[in-house]
Amino acid sequence: MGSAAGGLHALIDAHYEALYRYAYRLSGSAADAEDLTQEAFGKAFVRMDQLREADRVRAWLFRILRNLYLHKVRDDKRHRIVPLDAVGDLPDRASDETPDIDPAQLQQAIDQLDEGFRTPLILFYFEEFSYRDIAEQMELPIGTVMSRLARAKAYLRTMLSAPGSDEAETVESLEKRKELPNAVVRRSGVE
Amino acid sequence: MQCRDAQFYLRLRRPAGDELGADVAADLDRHLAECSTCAPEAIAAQSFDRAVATSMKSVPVRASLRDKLLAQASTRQGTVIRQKVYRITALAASLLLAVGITFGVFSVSRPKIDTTAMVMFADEQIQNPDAALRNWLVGQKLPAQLPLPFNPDLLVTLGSERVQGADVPVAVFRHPTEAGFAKVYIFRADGTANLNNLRDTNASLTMATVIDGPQHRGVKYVIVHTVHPVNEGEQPLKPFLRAPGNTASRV
Repeated sequence: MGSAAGGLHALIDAHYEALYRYAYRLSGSAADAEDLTQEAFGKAFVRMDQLREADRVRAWLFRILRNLYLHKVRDDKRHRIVPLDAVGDLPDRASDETPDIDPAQLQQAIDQLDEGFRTPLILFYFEEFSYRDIAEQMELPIGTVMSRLARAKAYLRTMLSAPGSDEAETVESLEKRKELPNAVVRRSGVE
Repeated sequence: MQCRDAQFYLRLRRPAGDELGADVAADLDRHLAECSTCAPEAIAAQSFDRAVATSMKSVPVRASLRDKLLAQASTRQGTVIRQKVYRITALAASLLLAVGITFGVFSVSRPKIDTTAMVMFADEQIQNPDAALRNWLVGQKLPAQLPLPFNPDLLVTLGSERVQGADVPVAVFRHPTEAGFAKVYIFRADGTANLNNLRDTNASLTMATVIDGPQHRGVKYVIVHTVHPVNEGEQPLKPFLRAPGNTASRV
């Protein structure tokens, strides 16, 4: 009994920060991130016996959290989604300088991405999961994940590395310049 | 490798570690070494990735979150323990109830032997054998009278006997003067026993007489008795029967 409680505490201590950060980047809200983290641990506690490989516990927790997030936003149309059909053709804006990226500005850019692009992007930069891990979490082929990631990164560089301006690019400005087609339907994936 | 491919692979090259595979990575590195357009782009991409990775992970985590999660874990642990306790308690209660019910049923169905009742019954049988016989028949839910007018003064026992696997009510009468008896077996025709083979039978010392018919609804009588000399045409059971006109029994 004591060891079980100790096991849960150890689980929390080992993963709650990473899980919260992931939740925050997914949801864009501290309150939602906190709720999601708590719910994810709540589910994990109940389903602990379903965990097959103890060394993949973090991937398992992240997957639970993502499913909770998807469930939460399934019918939420409030998100402004950037259509990424054409993003793959956007030129990356090269710069020799190491940019200083404001986390809030980064979040703003991430928030505008469809979840199917947002998740691989976040997991890529968290540097904890391989492409295979990400593909497993999203239940997608690894090629699809890599393709989405390439597009999402291109979008991110476009949004965050606008030349000649202190302000980052906005979806509106990209649309005005026709760098993002404004009439592209939201698509669920890039194959 | 073309510049376009190089641009694609640059986006997939990870800040830490490289999952592109040795062949692709070698091709990419070769291209970057030779291409004056892609080389600076690679440096910029790496720099951008490092900056985004740093920013991406730069999310302050409230200290209170850990406390909330630990409290949640403790609550969960408490719930699990409570559930286990409830389950064990419920199981124990069920077992206790089952044992109690079994014991109760057993206690109720177990016959309670009482000598007072035994001697009272014996007294009644001696003092008023007619009534004892009638009461016994009624108590057995059988017709209140036997099919023949047996002499109650000769009544020895009222009870039951195990006959070929069936418990059968039986009234036993003695011979008035000799060593002999008449046992009146009363079979219920309720299907619990197959009575199709019941028929009058003789042996060397005893005989069986079957009495049934529509007037004896629901029962068949088999009287097994010792054979005693009687006048021709007289009922073989005559020694056990009441004398004609005698309706009294001893008091």
